[in-house]
Amino acid sequence: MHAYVLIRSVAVVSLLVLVPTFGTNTRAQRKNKATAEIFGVVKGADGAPVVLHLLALDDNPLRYYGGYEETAAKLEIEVSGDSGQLNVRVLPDASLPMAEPSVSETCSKSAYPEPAVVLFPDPMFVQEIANVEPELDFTAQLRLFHSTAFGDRNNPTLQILAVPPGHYRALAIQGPGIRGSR
Amino acid sequence: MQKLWNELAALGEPVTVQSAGPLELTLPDKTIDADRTAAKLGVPPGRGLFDW
Repeated sequence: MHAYVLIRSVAVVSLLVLVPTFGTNTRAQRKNKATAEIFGVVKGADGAPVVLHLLALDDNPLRYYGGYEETAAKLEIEVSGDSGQLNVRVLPDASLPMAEPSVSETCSKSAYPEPAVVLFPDPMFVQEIANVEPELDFTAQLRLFHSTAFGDRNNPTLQILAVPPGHYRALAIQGPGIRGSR
Repeated sequence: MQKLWNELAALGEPVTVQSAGPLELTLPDKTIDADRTAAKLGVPPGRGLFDW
């Protein structure tokens, strides 16, 4: 089931209705200086999970202040009842040395490697749809999927939920490469 | 950043996701290759490859 709706002037009302229905899996992502998108999974009328993706199309159409939305001139809403799930195990690279925690960080999780998987859409950049200058705003037309880990900390299973069906490139690397060491 | 992401994506394994059932994957650790790619493009060590 795919529905693809472009809402212009009524986006404010739509967003005010939709945002309170989001569950805890929903998150807002800062994409660049001013644009944002909302992606998450909500429960459909029949109880089945539904993937909801709100993507701003203007340069500065949407602002969030603790859940309050200010203006929205143009908003693209994509709703899909079909989503996939990936369970991933990462084969360790034998050439990498085992992590050795320092004395002060023996009990710190940060001393251990944290494998993660990133999904890149394949092909990655669909410029004919977004019609945006790629060097200026390419992250606004691209969303990567990151894994979450569970199970044994030394040999975790990585999971990526609510992935729209399609072709991807899956890359497994260890942190802090994913998010940096901030 | 776009060039970096393109090159990192090229390191990944092709995967086709379908809505029916979870997909079980086993992937090789590409940390060294990813760091090497980032270094070639001038990304300093410790910097997140996907910060934006």
